Amino acid sequence: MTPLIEFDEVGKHFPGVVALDKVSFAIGKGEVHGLVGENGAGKSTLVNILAGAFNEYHGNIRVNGQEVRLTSFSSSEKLGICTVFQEPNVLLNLDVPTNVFLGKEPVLSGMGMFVDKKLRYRETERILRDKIKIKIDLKKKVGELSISERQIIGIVKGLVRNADIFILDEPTASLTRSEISNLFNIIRELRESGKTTIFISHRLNEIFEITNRLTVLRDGHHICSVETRTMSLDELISAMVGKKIESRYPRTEAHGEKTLLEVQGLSRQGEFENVSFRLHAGEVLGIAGVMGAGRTELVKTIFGATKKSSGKIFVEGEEVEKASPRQAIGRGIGLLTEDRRNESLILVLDVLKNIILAKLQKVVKYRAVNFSIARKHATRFVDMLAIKTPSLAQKVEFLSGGNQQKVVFSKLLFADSRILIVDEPTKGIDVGAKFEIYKIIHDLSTQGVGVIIISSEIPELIGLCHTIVVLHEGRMVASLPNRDMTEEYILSLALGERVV
Amino acid sequence: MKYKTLFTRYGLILILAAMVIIATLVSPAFLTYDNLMNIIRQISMVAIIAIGATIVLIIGGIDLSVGSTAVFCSVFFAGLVSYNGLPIWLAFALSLIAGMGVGLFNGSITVGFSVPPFIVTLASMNALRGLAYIYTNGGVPISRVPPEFSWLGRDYIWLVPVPVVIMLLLFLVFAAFLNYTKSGIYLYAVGGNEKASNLSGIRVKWVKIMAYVIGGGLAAVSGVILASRLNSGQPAAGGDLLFNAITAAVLGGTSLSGGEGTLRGTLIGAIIIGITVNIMTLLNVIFFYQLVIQGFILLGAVILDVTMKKR
Repeated sequence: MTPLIEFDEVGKHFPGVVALDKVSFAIGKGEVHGLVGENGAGKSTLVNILAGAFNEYHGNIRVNGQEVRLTSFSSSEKLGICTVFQEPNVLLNLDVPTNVFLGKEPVLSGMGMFVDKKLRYRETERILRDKIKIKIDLKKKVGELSISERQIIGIVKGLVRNADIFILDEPTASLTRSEISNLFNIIRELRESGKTTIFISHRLNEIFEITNRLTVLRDGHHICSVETRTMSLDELISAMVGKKIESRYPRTEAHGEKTLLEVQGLSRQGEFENVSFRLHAGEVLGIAGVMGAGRTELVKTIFGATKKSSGKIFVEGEEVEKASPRQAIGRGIGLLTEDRRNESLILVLDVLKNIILAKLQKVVKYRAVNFSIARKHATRFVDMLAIKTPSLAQKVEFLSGGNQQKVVFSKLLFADSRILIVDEPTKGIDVGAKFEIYKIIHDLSTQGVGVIIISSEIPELIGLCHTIVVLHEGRMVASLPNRDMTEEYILSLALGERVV
Repeated sequence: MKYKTLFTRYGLILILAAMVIIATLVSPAFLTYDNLMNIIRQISMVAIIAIGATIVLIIGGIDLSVGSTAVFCSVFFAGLVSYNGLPIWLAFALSLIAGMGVGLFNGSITVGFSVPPFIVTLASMNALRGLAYIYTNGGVPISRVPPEFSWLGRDYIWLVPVPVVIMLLLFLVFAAFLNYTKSGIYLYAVGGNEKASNLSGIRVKWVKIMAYVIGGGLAAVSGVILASRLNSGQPAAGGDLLFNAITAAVLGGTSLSGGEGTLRGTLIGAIIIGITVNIMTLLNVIFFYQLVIQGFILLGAVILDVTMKKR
């Protein structure tokens, strides 16, 4: 292997999170190199570093033996790196040749200002015909093309710029079978012409199909870089998942009998279909699945933030007819959204107002909000959940991620939620605070609250849940009682590698 | 961060104090009871509109039609009294309803069709100005009014001008509304984050419409005072109301991106504008130069707002 890109202790830190920690490995010339890991493993961070998305990172990167600093998109492009994101960076309002040559427009000879549109068109046509071997209507605006075609245009853009390294970041996530096989043909073409491809996918069968070497990342660390054919599926999954740490989780106890929430054949067009489960008092129910499995979409529909297309929802035996967040809160459902900063909190408001917002009527007396009562409630939650804030009047935007998350929990508890839906509650939170969140969830369940938890960290689900529902591409593939469950088993179900 | 809180808490009052000192030094006529009352009376109409402008800015919107609404309501008020012979109180009530109706229109269109409020209120700004001229038969001032017509604008309660009393009352009422009622807190929440507000069970659309209705109603009150002060209905008056109301709100620290703003700040902002105009007048600055200077004051306030956000 002749190394083309070498990473030397490359790292990236965000406030409170180490996304990538001293990663060292090499990618060889002419390889199709798979980058594998669970959500949060550091794949995207690594890709973003190569794409020049960050203006600083730790460690060194060498391309062709030369040390480089990739601190802007243009510095990355100059080194011949072409990054195609899942939603490619193209201008939807412009046609194909304009997109392909954007910033590199050929000009009419002798008339420096005027773009040679004919040349641009012919070149694009030629590359598509000879190198990609796919027909795309060049006169269409890119917005009218499919995601797959947009990705191809991203690749053509790279070819026009004589790129040597193509990074495809989860390109297959929203493609159909035939589009995927087209894409794989293109990758093979690239390989034959001596180009190097870095391929990222959650679908391990694709990794085995198209890559010849692969690198596994986990929790920001480099685990291994090997020839693909030397590894089995089980070995790969073990490498991605790593060792379990069970003692981090409080012990679960038997849950109650009463059904709090029942979902029957719930579907929403294009997002998820025919999901059924029951949530009992005191039960913690986990929803597992990879990105795009429809987990967040499912709980948003249960909460009434989006409309179902069919199926039924019962809350404490009563069918929910007209679902809306307002109704859901009234029925005692609380939702902690995955996107805490944009959907759960109002950052410009203080801790107190955020906590009381969803059920102000509880503290209204004579038509006015009684702030002294409100403060008493809020103080109780601040103490109970150990929220670190200088005062109740602190704007929540200045709190740490973990403390913000606890404010959201307080908000849901203040609204008397008996059914708590928490979507990635520990995302972007440091380890200590994670443990506190687990304890909060556990304590609530012992008090009879039913909890639905979505998490991409499967150990979390195994550690906390009585039941785990697994979604794969919008379909419910399993509902498992949590007995002797292994991470490998759930992950393979979630990836569609195995069926129950 | 520390400087920022210090500034937002006391900066405005410091600026106000500095202006008072400078004005006193520059003109001996400044610090007299008559002149001060004059300033406050002059700003009262702008300040009342600015309450509404602040509330609309808090929800993350903007209402460019407030000035025109005020002017329309002022001629409507005068017309109801003069043309139709209605009693003052009834004319006042109907004008108030008209103003709130304009707000309802602006709010419903903005929310119902997802049209940016800038465009909706720009359109109604123009339309209302036109309506004011149409209503007055092409701009003929409505001046045949009974003597009690001017009470609201020109009289005093004890030693304080009536418009100032109304203004102070409205500030108290709406400050309490914003700080202590459910609706008030929802206004801030919606302006801070619409998505999160919706997921918190707040009826975002109603809250937004409410803000515009309040804005329209307050513009109507201001318009009635304007008519009373002029002792007539004049469609050409009140050209500076919109500009000064927005400037007062922004000077007072109301965020253009929504979710932040206090009426205390807006009131001080209005007083600062009043003093600026007063000093310039005392120093015989020509009116057109005053417009230029005021323009730059607004610009400065916005730049300050934006740079403070970045820190």
